[in-house]
Amino acid sequence: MSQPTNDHGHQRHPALAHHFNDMEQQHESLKMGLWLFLVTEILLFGGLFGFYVFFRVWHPELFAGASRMLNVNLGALNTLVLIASSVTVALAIRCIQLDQPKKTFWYLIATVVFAGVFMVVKYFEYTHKFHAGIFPGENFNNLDFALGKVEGVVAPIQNPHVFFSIYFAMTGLHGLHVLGGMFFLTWVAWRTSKGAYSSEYFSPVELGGLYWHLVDLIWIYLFPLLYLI
Amino acid sequence: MEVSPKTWFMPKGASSIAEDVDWLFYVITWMSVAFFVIITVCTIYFMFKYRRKRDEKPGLTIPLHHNTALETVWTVIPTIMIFFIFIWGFRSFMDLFVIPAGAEEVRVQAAQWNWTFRHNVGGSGNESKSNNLHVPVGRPIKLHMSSSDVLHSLFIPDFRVKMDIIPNRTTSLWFTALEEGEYDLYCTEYCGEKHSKMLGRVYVMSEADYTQWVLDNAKAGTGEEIYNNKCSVCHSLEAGNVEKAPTWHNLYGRTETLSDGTTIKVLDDYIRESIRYPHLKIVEGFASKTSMAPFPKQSVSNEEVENIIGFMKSLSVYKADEANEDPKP
Amino acid sequence: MNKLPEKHFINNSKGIKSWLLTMDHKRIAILYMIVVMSAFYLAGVFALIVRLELAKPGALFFKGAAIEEPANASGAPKGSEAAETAVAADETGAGPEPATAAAATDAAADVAVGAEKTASNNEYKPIDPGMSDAAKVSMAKSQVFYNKMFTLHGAIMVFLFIIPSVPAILGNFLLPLMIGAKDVAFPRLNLASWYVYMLGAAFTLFAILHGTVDTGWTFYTPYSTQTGGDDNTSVIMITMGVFILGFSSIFTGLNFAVTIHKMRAPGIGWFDMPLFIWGIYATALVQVLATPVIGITMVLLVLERWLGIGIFDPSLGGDPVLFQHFFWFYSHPAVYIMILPGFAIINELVTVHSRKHIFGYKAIGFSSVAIALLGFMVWGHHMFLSGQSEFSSMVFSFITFFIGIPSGIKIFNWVATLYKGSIAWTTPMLYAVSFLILFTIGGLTGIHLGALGVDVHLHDTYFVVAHFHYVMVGGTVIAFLGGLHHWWPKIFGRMYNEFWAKISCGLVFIGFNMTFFTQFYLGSQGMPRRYHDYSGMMKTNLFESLHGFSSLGALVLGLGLFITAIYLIHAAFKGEPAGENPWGGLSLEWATTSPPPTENFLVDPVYSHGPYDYDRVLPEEMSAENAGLKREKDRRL
Repeated sequence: MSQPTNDHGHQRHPALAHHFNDMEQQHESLKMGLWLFLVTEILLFGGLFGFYVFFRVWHPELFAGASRMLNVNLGALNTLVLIASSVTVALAIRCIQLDQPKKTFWYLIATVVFAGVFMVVKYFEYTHKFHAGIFPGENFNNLDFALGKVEGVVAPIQNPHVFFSIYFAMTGLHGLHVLGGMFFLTWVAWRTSKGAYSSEYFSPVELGGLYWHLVDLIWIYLFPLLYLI
Repeated sequence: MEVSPKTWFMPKGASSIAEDVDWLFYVITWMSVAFFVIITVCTIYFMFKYRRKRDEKPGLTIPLHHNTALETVWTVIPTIMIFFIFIWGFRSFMDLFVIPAGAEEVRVQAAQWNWTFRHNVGGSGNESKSNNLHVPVGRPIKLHMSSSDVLHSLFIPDFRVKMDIIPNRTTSLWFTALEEGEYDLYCTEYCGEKHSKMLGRVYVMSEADYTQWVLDNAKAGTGEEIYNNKCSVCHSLEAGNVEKAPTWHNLYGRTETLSDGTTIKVLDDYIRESIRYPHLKIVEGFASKTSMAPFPKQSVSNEEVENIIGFMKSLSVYKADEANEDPKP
Repeated sequence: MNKLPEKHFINNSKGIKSWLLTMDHKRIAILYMIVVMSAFYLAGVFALIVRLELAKPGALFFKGAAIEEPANASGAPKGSEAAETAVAADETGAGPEPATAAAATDAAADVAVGAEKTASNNEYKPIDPGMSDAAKVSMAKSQVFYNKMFTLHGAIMVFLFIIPSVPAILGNFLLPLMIGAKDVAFPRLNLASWYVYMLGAAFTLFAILHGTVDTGWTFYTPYSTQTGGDDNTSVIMITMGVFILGFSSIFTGLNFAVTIHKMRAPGIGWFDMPLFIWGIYATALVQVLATPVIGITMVLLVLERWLGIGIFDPSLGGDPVLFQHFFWFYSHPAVYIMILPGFAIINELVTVHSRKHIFGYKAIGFSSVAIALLGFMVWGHHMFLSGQSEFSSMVFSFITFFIGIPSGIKIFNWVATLYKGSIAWTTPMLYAVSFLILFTIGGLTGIHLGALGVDVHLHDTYFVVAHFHYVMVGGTVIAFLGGLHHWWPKIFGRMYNEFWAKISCGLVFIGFNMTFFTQFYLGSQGMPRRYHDYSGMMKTNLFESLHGFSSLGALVLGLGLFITAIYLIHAAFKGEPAGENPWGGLSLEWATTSPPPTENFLVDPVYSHGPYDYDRVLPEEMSAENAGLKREKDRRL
């Protein structure tokens, strides 16, 4: 390209923002922007993973015992649900690349529904914990734990609430990101139904999908670290 | 031993490590001055020499984009210099950190907003206590430090020593004072309202004066103090809190069942025996827990044992010479 | 005779809505300028308060403002040491922790013992036991006020001023212009980042008005989890403010990184850009990678405060040193967010005002990125004495020394750039020279602090305060002021008054050195940081002379900065029209009108020469009409 001029005569795609030269530049910019954003998310959760690692190394007995109080079945169910939601969002991207907005819409809705299931299961898990007196932090008052009556726990544990602080902080932050993703994907689904996307321009679908995969990936790390070991 | 030779920027060094630290400080300073002078002189000189004249016709300047030889030189030379400074600094640091064997230990408690220095009175179980630090001249002293509440830091500028003090942990520093005298001691980690008033003095005394001071100020710790320092790790004062060991709440005067099935009333003799020889009579249910270490006279003096008993009495509803119900733990 | 273009980005559309809903990066830069500079002056006022308090020993503020307090329940008058210590014990929530309460009462008993000892042994006691209760109350008030002032000075300067300053103001304005783009990659995100900044500023303001925090800008635990007792509001508000401000920084960095990668005009490769862009790019990398960590740290601090999760507070099972690791893992790279833009500006100032090609383009560019990445590996040098292992201290010290090399090299490169140049003694050039001198001092004193054995003596003393002010103020702020003067005529189309500018530059330089060079000596002599008062020490008289001189310098510095604000604001509205290229620069921002049109250029710019080609191209050949050179034959494409 030797001499670009102000391109006002040429037909510009309606979704092309005024400051970009062409769709390709816009799409690449959006993609790079999203990857950088995902990197920041990894670092944000990184702090919490750091929290986990330090306390696990300092208090291995605490983790071994406390993690038994988590419901592995529900955790596993949630893992499957999220993996399924990643599959549906990937299919949504595929469909819009093939100019099938209707299927895209339904796959996106399916993703949001799966996410909803995840949140409902989380709700039950949390309320069950609260009933058992398991709260993050100072309000923790589960006597079984304090008196060393939890199976597999050798000595009475000091500061048992710390494990649950980590549990609630990590799953809580993750849950907030699931909620955020649900809102965004719902909006994308609505825009799809309005015909805003096609094989020429489907950036929000792709970006939403990428974000969703990260949210799923984080859970795939959380689940074994918190529930299984 | 000669103290630090140059003291125009640093205070006069009064500890064995000060000279080494000061030498490094001055070497870094003079090297920095040299670089600073080169940079500033060149800059100012160029500013004047190549100043644009007021009516100068605009023209092109020389195409000087880089010079590999020059750039290599001014990269490699500073790198080598700082490498040596790093090594020296690290060695000084290790000298400051590694505590010589046989250093006399002074226990330091930092709290908002004062210092407590505790010296054991050799073998008696008593201790000498002060808000200021008293040390003998000429031999290594180790400060074994912990905080009661938030972060603090102990700093003695004339000795060139400093270390942060952390709650629930201990940190240490050591020094050998070279001259008798009085020196400033500061808290140098911000700790709240009276941080700037958390000051102390270091009194460096002759060996004889020091020994005398320690004896003059020796007293037995009160029952509660000893409890805090030595017993609170396992024994709670709360009703029902029996994680590791019997709670002292309502312990005095209680009838306990021992691990061999016999019963005993917890009174003065049992307490005295349990402090010195804890393994002889253990209460039922606690035999499998981490066992209690014995506390000999060097650790808890006889007077202190009596103080502990007095403290325990104050925690119980039991009254001698009265008809009592068995106090509940 | 210069005059402003008829239509430009400032007068193109009118009304407050056109500004508050703008997506023009140049207008967003001005929006940032207004709020960020206000924060600077506000924090500067707090600094003056701090310096005034320290000018003399004893309390200055609230002196004599004592109120007779009634005796509290324990029978001791409220102002007394013992009661206050007991109160402190209550506030630390010493419920099931008898050790704390007992130890505090112990301490109180000790003090009482100490008081007896003083009377009998003449031993040292920091607070005069003969002080009246009223005097003790006013001393307490003065101390608390001082602690809040230094906290606010630090927090506002770091989070509301210096981190956003160059990127959000000059970066926003210049980046698209310098690479020939119409705007940044995500203009809406850009505007959003300004609103996020405002939200963070609002939280901070709320915290200040509610009662403020006294934790220091570093929020070390467990003091920050305990101070204020049950009233969590101030601490939570300000930490949430920091968290929110972090997002503003992330959005800006993300935007700039994508813009530099994807939006350069045709023909502009990585090595054809002004080094200002390399500096902004390196900064953007750090903003994106480091800021989330302070975000999560602040969240964890809030949770610790609100729910007692037990991560940092030892009485809840946590580790206070862990907080320091989390905090400095961001805050060290943050100082590179502060200085890299300063370096970026200096590249432009020395080349334009000496009309000379930069010496060592690639060395400067690569070293900026190297500094950004290495900066993530040295956080522990803030913690040599925190209780971390000697081995980690050794590693951190080692890497710290090596990160000084790329910075030093840049200084040599800039001095070499002056060689055989054609140097104009303009205010931006004078600021650039000030930078070279002052940043050198700041950087070299970093060696004292990186050398482990010497750091033991200097850590947490005024030596550190002097060092970081030399690099942050003598470095970044001086460079920023130079940049503001350099680009003011481009932004507003009007020139500032050179006479008053030079006077202020002189006042700033002299005042700054008076204030802070003195503090190197203060620190070496042992004066600790964050002290409200220095009476009762053996060196009080020496410290009084030094602090007095330093405070005088602060007044001179403040005067210089005040005058700067006056004439710069005046120039924006009423200065002489400056023309397209008053300094004779060769980068693309000078190939458009002053102020630029909303779409940045009159025609699409085409790369035709490098930004530093003063050996090939005369600046007089630049023209806004062609968005580049007047002559066709030198166009590269």
